[in-house]
Order: sequence, then structure tokens, then C-alpha cells
Amino acid sequence: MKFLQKFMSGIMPSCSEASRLASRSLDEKLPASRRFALWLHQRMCGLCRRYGSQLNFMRDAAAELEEKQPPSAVDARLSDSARNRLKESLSSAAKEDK
Amino acid sequence: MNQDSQTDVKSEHVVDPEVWVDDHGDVLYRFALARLRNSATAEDLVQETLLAAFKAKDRFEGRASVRSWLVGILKNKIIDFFRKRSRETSFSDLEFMRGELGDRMKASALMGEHWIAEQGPREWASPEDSLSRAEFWGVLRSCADKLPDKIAGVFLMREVDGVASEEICEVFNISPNNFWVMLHRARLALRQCLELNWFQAQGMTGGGR
Repeated sequence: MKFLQKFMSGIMPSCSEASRLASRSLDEKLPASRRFALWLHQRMCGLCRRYGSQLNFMRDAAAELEEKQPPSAVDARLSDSARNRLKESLSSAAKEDK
Repeated sequence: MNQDSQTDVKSEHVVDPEVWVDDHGDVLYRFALARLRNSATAEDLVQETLLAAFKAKDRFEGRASVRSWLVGILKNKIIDFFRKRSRETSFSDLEFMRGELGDRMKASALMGEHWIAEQGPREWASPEDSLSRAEFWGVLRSCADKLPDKIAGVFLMREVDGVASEEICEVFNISPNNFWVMLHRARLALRQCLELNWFQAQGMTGGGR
């Protein structure tokens, strides 16, 4: 039993480790041993397989977020004073330019 | 010929920088606000962006739209801003979602920490279909808005703006390890938020297994 425990924890990451690896694998190529461990775990664990594919889905969605739903404060606008300030600074830059 | 048409494009779009304020000011402001969470700083960076764009207007090639050119400049201004500030990673950033997995997992001798079936990720029914629903994007955006400031900054830069990991670590002055932790927690939180506020709310989740 002791041996089996040691063997399992050596090659087979836990679900919490697998979820960390799944996240990290989106940002860099994992070392081969970790990649194998994640793959093995996901073959045996449906919930972690699901977790991994949900992360992939979110990654694809996030890449489109800016286009599909521009920053949330959709009604946030420059205040009039800020707008005037911007215009003033631009027009004084334009004068210097000439 | 080629030269002439380029000049045309330039003069057509880059005539009056003050028009930029009216045409693009709000868009730039919202872009900055979503990342900086501070209206005064967002305004300052929009101003810096427009001034920088004005000074560089001769280099605008008319290949991209004026707006995406301006957004590109703004992105760099935001990166510079974070780099200068590069505060210490605050306690709350790393505490965020810390116990999250612990609540959803239990330890066993053989498998280590593993999902408690009912607490694990639910099945999402045909998630690709959600991508064509306008409400989905609203929910995703509001989930991103709920992230703590710095975690949101890291996440948006990485996943939405596609900035390289090394550059984000440098800009925020965080170790690669903290970077992984912050992204991992951001994804945990977003996954959970989406599941609850979109898939479950729409009746689009399967069972625990």
C-alpha cells in the first residue's frame, strides 16, 4: 500500500495539481514529464478533462472579448472637462508644431 | 502613384487631431478604464496617447484604421504605466480564490486532492453556441470586471491583449511563479462565474459527472 501510494503520487498528479498544470499549459510548454502526467491524469479523470476543455474554451472566448463586448463601462465617457483638456493640449501641441 | 494614394489616406484620416477626441476619445477611455480601474489615470493615459499619436502622425501609414493605431499606442502607454508603478504584489491578490479548490476537493490517500463529484466542474452544453449570443459576452465581461484589480490586469493583458508572459512579469514586477498563480486563480474565478451566471442560469449545465 505504501509503495502504491508513492508510485501513484510520483506519476499521477492530484486533481488540484492537474488543474494548475492545465492552466500553466496554456501559457508555456510544460516539461515532458509534467505534460505526460497531465495527459495521464486527464485520461483517467473526466472532471479534469472537462476542466481542461473549459479553460480552452475560455481562452478562445477571451481572445474575442475586446471585439464582442468592449469594456464594460459601456456608458463610461470622457467628462466634458477631460474632453476640453484633451483638445486644448492637442491644439497647443499643434501650434508648437507649426 | 502608390505614394500619392498613401498621402490621400493620411490626409483623409489624420487631418485634425481634435477630431480624434470626438471620434475615438470615449473608446480609448473605456479601454484604459477597464485595465486601470481609475478614471483619472485613464484620462491621463488617453491624453498621453493622443499627444504621442499627434507627434508621430507622419509615421501613421494608413494601413490600419486610425482607431486601432491609437489603441496600439494606448496599450503601450498602459504597459509603461504598470511598469513604472510596479507595486509590490499585494496580499489580497495572492489570497484571492486561495481556498477555492480546497472547498471543492477532498484528499484521498491514493489520489491526493481530487474533486468532490458534486462540487467539480459541471458539463457545459455546446459552449460554442454561446459565442454567438450577445448576452454571453456581457456575462463574460462582467465576470472579468469582478476580478481584483491586479489579477484583472494580468489576465486581460495575457488573454485579451495577448502580451507575452515575460513582459507581463516584468511590467507587474512579479515572479513567474506568482504570474502562474494569478492566472490560475483568475481562470478558476472566471470559470466558476461563467458556470453560475451563464451556463447554469441558462439551464445549459449537465450533471456533476
